[in-house]
Amino acid sequence: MALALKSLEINMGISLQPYKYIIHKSDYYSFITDSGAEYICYFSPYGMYFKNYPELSPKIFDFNLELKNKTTKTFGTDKRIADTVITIVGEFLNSKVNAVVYVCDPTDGKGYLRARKFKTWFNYYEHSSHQILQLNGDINAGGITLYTGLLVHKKNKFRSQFIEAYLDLIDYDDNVK
Amino acid sequence: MAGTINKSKSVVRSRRRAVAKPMTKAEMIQKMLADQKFIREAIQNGISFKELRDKYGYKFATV
Repeated sequence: MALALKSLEINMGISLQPYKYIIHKSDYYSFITDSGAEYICYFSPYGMYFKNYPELSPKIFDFNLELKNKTTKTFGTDKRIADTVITIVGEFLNSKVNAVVYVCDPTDGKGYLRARKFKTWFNYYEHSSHQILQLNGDINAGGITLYTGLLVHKKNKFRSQFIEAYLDLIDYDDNVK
Repeated sequence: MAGTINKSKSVVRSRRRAVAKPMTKAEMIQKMLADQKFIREAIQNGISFKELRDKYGYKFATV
C-alpha cells in the first residue's frame, strides 16, 4: 500500500500550455491534440461510494479522460495533454467546493503506469490560480488492485473531511497492516 | 391467489433487503470498472452523453 500526500506549491516561473478545449454544456470537455487525437474529459458523481459521508457525497466526483477514437495514432509524449487535463481539473476544483477521485483502469495491465503518469501530472501542478492537494492510494479486493487518487483544493473548507472519506474508501487502516 | 400475493410481498421484501445491503469492496471495484468501461466504449462508439444520461441513467457533473 503506497500512500503519498503531496502538497503542491505555486511556482509562478512555470506556465501551462493547454490545448484549446471545448466545454460541451453541460456534460463534458473535449480537446484535439496536434497529432489529431481527440480526448474527452468528464466528471461523474461518486457519492454512491461515500454513503457514510452524506454531507460530502454530493461534492465528490470521479474524473475520466478518454481517447475518443481508439484507432487514432499518438506520437510520443505530449506534455500539452497533461497541461490541458491539469487546467480542466484545476478549474473544476477551483470552486473550492468539490473534490475529485480518479481511478486508473487496471484491466489491460497498465493501471500502475496510468497511475504513475497521473500522479506525475498533478505533482507538477503549478498554476497561478490553483492549489491542488493530491493523495494517492490503492484499493485491493478480489485479486484486483485499483490505483486511485484524491484531488482537492487546498483552500476547500471540507479538505480534512474529504481526506478522511477518501482514506475510508481505500481502507487505509487495513492496507497498512 | 393468497399464495401469489404473499409471494409478491416476499419478492418486494427481498428486493428491499438487496437495496439496503452495502457493497463489498470487491463489488465496489467491479462497479467502478464496469461503469468506466461502459462509458468508454459508448464514447468510442459515438453514443452521446445525452443518451448515456437519458437512456442508461448515468449522471455527469455540470461543467
